Amino acid sequence: MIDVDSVTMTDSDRVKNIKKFFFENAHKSRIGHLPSALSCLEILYTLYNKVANITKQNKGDINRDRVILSKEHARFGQVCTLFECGLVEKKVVDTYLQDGGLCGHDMYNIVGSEKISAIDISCGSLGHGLGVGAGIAFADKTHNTYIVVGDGELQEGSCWEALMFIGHLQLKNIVVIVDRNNQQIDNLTKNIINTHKFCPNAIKAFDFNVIECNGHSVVELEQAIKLKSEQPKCVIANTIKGKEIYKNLSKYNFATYHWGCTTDDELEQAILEVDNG
Amino acid sequence: MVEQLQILGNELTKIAYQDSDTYFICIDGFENITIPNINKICPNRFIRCGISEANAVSVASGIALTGKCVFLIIVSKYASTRALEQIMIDVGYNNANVKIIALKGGIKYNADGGYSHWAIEDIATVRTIPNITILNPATNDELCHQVKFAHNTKGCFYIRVENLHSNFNPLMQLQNYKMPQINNGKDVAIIAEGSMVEYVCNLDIESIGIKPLILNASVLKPFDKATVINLINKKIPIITIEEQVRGGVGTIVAEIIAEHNANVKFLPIRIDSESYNIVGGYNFVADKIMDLSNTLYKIAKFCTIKISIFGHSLFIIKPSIKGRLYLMFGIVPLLSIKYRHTKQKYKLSVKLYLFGLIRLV
Repeated sequence: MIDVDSVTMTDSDRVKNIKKFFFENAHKSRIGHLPSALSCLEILYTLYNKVANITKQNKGDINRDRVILSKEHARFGQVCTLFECGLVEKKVVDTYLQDGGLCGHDMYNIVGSEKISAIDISCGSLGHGLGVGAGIAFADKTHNTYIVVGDGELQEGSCWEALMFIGHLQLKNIVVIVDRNNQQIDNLTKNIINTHKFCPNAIKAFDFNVIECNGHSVVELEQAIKLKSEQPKCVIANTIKGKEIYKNLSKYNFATYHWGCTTDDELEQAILEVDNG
Repeated sequence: MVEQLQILGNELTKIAYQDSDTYFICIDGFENITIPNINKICPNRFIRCGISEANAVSVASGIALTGKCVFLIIVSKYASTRALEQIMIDVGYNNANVKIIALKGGIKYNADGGYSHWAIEDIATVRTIPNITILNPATNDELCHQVKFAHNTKGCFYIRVENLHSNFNPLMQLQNYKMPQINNGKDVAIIAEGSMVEYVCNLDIESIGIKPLILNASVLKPFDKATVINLINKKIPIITIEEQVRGGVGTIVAEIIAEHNANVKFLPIRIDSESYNIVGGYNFVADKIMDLSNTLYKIAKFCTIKISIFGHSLFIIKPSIKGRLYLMFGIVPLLSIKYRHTKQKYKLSVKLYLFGLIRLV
């Protein structure tokens, strides 16, 4: 369980609680994709608690801000964050990816379906969130649309079609947040296609306001996302892919590290790392 | 095609005036002819997505998820190949209220470049997408009817539009999910899709002694299985005709026949060739990949039975009287041969032979 006393607990303590909850439940349900979820956890916490106007009262409404997790394999981090701030019930966490569960990486979400209505879109495979988010932002200019993409995901061509489109139309109510954790399944991103190097300038060339920050600092993320801008914003959040279990990368290959679940020892070690972090 | 685009454009313009919750997205190439006025009527509800088909579909889905209705004007080939994943996931899986008007269906637009522009596999691919309704008009009137129907029905639609002529407009009862009937023949049922309906009607099949029942496969998903089952029950042979490879209407009907273990004659006329390295006009190309100029011969051959009696062959068209003919030709030679035998042998032979004939028939 998470005890949330948002009045007295600091953001740092709340994030630590979410991470411990995340590790315990992922271990229990044998869920993988842990490093990808961990690297964007502070980003999602900042969006749901500091930035987006999504509340228990309006989560089923279509007239509100939206948060789109385009890197959907990190969804378990999203549901843990949403549970912590009261936007989904515990059942969503407990049944994640389980037989008959309420959601997995993909989920069919009729707008307004109560149990998971805080989760805005099911994009499925990579490269869809930016285009769908652009459509939402175009149609609803009174609210903001926040789209979290991975740096490896930016290798998908469909991302660039959407970025050009957003830049051309200057959709100022969009904020793209790139979780730049420098890794993808098979290797470091720079050894496959170096989006780390190419993307900031490329996105800037599409008339975006590009801001870099520490992706593990809630304060910096909030400042960057809320920065006033006459152009659509792209926040490049520099993160470490699974910093609490980074030691595992030396034990396994990149793919196993990306996909794998924790052993009992690894869980214990991870909880310690969270407490010391 | 210009006339068809203008007719379509008029229908969409009416919707733009009537419904302020409908958005219009256009990929490059159709704005000037199809919807030149929509940008003036509702600039906030019109988007040019340019040469980005995948993004156009994603954007359409995003808009629909804010509670709006979206019409997306796109080319069939790119919708069903390049942007297929976006249609599957962003539109179909999310059941987004997007109406995809997929133009240039079939092979009639080969002037644009050949195989890369022929939409000959889109029925096969798009019909696998969840939640999607696939419509396929045979006339421009029907196109307008289907656009209105799609606008008034929540959910995702794929309306594939082939090159249709305005001067072809037979009387059809346009019901929303049933195959309209063009005429009332009984010898063979021909299920045609899109522009092939006009083609079949112009074939003059009655000149070879066959009265066909021509059906317009205007709804591909959900397919009108009841009509096909009715044909099966009446043992009417079935032909399908389409500008598609395997996986289209022919496959849909074959599945229904197989699922019902039906013993009915079936002939799919479609693109069976994979040699697409062809340059030329429509008639030349259609002949090469569909053998289209031999369609009347194929129908005649399908409807013909050959009876061989003591080395003499007789070709009969009209399978509905096949049974009687077998019986007639079976008995006559038997009587003449057995006449010389005793009464007992004669009676026995006749009974056995008749029994065998009935089993065959």
